[in-house]
Amino acid sequence: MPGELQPPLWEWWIVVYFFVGGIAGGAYFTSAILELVGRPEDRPIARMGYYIAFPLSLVSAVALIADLGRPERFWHMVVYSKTFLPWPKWDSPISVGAYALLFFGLFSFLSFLDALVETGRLPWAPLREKYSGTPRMIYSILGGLNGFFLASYTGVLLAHTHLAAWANTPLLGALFLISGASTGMAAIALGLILAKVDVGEAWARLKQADNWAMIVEIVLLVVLLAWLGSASASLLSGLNGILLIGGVVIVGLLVPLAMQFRAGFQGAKSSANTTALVAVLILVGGFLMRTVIVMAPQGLL
Amino acid sequence: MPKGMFVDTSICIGCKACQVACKEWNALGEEPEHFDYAGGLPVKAKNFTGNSYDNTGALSATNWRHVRFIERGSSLEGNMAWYMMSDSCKHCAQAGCLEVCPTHALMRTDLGNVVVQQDVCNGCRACIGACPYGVISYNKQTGRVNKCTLCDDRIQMGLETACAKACPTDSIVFGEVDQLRVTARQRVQTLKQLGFAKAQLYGDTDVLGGLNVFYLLLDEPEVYGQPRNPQLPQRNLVPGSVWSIGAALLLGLSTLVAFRGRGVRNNGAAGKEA
Repeated sequence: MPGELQPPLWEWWIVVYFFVGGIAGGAYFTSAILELVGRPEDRPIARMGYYIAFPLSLVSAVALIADLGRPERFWHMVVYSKTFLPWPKWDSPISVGAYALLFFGLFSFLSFLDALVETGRLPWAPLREKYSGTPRMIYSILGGLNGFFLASYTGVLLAHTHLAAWANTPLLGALFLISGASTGMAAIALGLILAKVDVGEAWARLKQADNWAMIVEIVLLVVLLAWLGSASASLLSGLNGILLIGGVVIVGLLVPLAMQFRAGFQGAKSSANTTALVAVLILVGGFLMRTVIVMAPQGLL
Repeated sequence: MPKGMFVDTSICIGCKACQVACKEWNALGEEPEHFDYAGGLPVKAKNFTGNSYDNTGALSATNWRHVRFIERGSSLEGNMAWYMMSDSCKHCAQAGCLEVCPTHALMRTDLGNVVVQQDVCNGCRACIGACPYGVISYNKQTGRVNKCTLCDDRIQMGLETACAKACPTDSIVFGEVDQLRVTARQRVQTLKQLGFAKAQLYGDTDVLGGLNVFYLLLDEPEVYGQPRNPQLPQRNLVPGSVWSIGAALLLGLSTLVAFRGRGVRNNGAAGKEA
């Protein structure tokens, strides 16, 4: 290998961060879209997205901090430790990503509060009084954009290196973004089922949106592997290849799509169990994709 | 004026005095990967190359200088070439590590050398993948990254680097980069006249804006394990962002289509339970 490149040794915490951050961003983005164009019966979907996004933004932050060699210095990411002043670095994905995570946490927290107040779960009078006057549309849009960024910048971060399987394609950010959306929507579906919320006809719209995301994801993954050419060897050899093709493409994308379409062709409404299974498979696929793409090029899998 | 080093591999004898001087001056420990421990003491050496005089194999958090040994050809055929190269951080004029560091721990001093501020680094390791030379290494014991500082503590006091000081053949010369480049170009011409047709400078102004630590090589850069045309990691920033934005627009459109409908806000009429 020229120059004997060294891997950054990003391991399981980073896999978790990429996966959970993608779900959080994708779920919030879905909710933000519904905030703009949703029908009344879509509202529980939007709220579930908000319920998911904020806690997972906290999990993302914990995973990111845990991965640091010096976790107690996590704040150095956003504040220069010698001046205690913010000092973003626009061409450093980690720097911009840290700010994005911070703002995403803020916006998703506001939306999380919104959902709690809306459903009466947070009966605190001052918040209820202000509910109708809050500019939630604005922070939903800002949070949705941050969610997009959170889901995709991780791929750009990997491309910001010299490891061939990461650096020889510009598609990783796009792939992670689409995967974040599909896993975010799957998490919303799973959340609705676990909370025993029936959203009636809105199920079909959520599934259709997720199907589109999965189809785009498959196309992107194929194009990405073709783009990489010989540089994709580390992703496709041995166990890595089994996990990527078998786990991600077949189990995590094709099988869920087939199950959704089968139910659609038959005109039957999927059972809650089937919908839950589809959601779990999509989530497993999303996790395996991050695992293979993060670990394999570093020789860690 | 930036300070740096000219490393003339044509007169390197592979004595590793530079490697030892670096270890001693910077108080670098043994390579953790090379030893098993019992009761806090090393009991078994391992992971040495075993097939070369190159005993460390690569740069690391505790080897900031690495004397490469490159055995080429065959002594039986009479074309044996035995190259040595004392490798380290190049202190690139355009340094990828410096650009990606989110904490500003990596900084360039007024003498042009790139150093890691150990009191700022939080061990995110972004710089490791950003270096095209595999120079920066993670130190698991300290949770931070390490690399050659160009002996910042020495050169700020007007001294030369420890490796240059120790080099018995002056294969490593410390000085002002501009002056070193003039000397190096003359040396290349001399070697070419002596029949070393492939003699060349690696790291003149054509590589990453110029390497402050640059090399005279007797063969192609790849022979010495150096990338011919290293790029900044930022080369992927714009294309990666453009594709991501494109994917975001596509996704936004498909989701809008799936959820198409007039924007109606419902304050609790449906799905009250969620």
